[in-house]
Amino acid sequence: MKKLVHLIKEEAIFIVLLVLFIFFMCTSDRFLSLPNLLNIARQVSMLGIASVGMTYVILIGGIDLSTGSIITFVNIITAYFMVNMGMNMWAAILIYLLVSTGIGFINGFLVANFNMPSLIVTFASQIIFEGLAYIISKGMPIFGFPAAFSEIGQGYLGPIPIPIIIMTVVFLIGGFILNKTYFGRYFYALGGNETASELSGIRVKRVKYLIFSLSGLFAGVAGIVMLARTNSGQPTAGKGYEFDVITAVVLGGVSLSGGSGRLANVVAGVLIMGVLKNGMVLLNISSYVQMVVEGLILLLAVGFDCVQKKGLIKA
Amino acid sequence: MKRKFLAVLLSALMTAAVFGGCGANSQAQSSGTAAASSNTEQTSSGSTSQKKLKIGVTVQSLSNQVWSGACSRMKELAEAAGNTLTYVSCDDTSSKQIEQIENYISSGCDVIMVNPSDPNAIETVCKQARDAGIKVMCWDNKMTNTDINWIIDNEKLGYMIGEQAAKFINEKFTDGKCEVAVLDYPQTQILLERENGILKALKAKAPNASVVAQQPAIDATGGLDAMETILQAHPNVKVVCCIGGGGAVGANEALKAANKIADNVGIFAADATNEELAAMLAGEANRMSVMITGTPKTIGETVYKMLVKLGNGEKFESQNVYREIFPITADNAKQYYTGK
Repeated sequence: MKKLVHLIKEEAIFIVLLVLFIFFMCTSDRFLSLPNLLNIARQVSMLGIASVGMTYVILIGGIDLSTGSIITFVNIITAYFMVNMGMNMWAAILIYLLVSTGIGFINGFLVANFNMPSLIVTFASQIIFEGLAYIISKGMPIFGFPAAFSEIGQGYLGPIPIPIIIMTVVFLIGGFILNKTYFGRYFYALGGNETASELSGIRVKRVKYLIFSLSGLFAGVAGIVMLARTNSGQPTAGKGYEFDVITAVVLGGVSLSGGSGRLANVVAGVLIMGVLKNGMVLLNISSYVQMVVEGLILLLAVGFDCVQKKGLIKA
Repeated sequence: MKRKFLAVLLSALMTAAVFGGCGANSQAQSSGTAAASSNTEQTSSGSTSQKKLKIGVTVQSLSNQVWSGACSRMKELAEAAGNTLTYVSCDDTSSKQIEQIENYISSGCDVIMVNPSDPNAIETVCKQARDAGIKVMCWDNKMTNTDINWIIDNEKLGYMIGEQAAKFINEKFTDGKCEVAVLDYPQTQILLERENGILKALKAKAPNASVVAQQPAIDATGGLDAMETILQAHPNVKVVCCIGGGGAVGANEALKAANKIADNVGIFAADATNEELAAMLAGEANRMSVMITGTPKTIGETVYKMLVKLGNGEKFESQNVYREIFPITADNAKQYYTGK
């Protein structure tokens, strides 16, 4: 009995995913087709990629509100480089990743050195870079990329869409950093008790630089996929995207107070969001109802997390 | 030491703020008197208006290319004519917009244009502006306390989208049998009116067509995601009607990626954005988009003309001025396409 309760506690998110899966399987005959499953995976790929960086940040008890803005800003500058200046696509992508990592690093630098709350720092950079994106694009979308570029978002490697492959690779790398390296263990330590970590010799500042830089980098990778998928650099591209990412991570059971969470569960959180969105469109549920359901699911997931912490469910 | 420094800094800031405030006030007054004196000048010199106008504009958001494009064009025109035009975004917040209008009133504007986040929330402050002798123009809503409302008949616009789609359906399909998807956004009232227009026209003009999906899509990403999934549920969807250009661009990408571009596949939408026009000219799925007034540049010019007319005290026929709408297809897209 104890074992069962423990199992439910740890793997609740997978049970929710399974229940959703079975529900949509029974209600829509199209849901369980291979093209649709690939479609779901492709649609959540950006969310999944960005969620890895966000998981790290939330693990140390921080938050990154700049994810959406980083995506928008680098989308616009890359589109500008490729279309208006005719830059080679690989060079543009390289710049893209450098800039997004750089923005993440600045966030980390401010958080670590000036003890500023990450909520405020990243909120400020969200506003700044959104503004800069408007200045560069003058509010107009930039489009007309080389065909090879849109392959990143729309192409296939064999039967599998490229965004899914990128997401899988990012999850593997993300999981490796978190579970197999010293840094990964530092993330948990920092989230558990920052002072204790510092006293035990962890260079807290460096870890924070790394975490926020990685969050920027992964946001950048997600942004490239988004840019290639929509084939157009839009000044509204990433608006509000950070909240989708935070929702997925929190659904995946990463505690907002830091210190605990598993990447595998975040994968499940990401998939739940995708399955839910896809299933509701397949059933042609009205958008009003969709909003209610999304809110309820989030409430349930976070509620479960909090109930666990209070020890209402005893193992 | 630190505290002292902080104290000095704070007091310096406060003094600066006080002086700055006074400066702004006196400037407002002086511009007010200047406006008054130039008014008398104008009456003496006749119809050629040399009056320098001070115009304040607040829009819902500058993240929309129509508003941002139109505003920057208006500013260019105002500067060229020696008038002053300031534009700000209220980021969809009524309280912020009220503050902005209050600031325009106290800075002595001659004309204020509002693109309301919520028209009811700003009625009172617009009344204050008009009581202060300022002309007020509203962009997009039928307000009470304004001199003119520049508005779209959204149901008529939606009807035009549906009508064009119906024409296409009746041409391409025997008996007009065809599966249709509607990309809507019922969270916004005007877009809901547009959707109702689309559905009405489809029912009247293409009664055999069936609407198999209605899903929200306000931007390209939303349109792409929704269309991909709709194609999973209904692979035979041939016609897509969208309430706006963003969703239409996304739907086109989804159809392209699924290799569904064909002679009998079409997207019908509104806004006639540059991206939609580019897709039309390239023979992709976008077949028609309803243009409202014109390109953002033309919109800016039209609005600016109306603002100057208002500022010069000229009369309009009615408080409600309806905006012109017309369909753009591959045939006439070229003349409105302004490149990348």
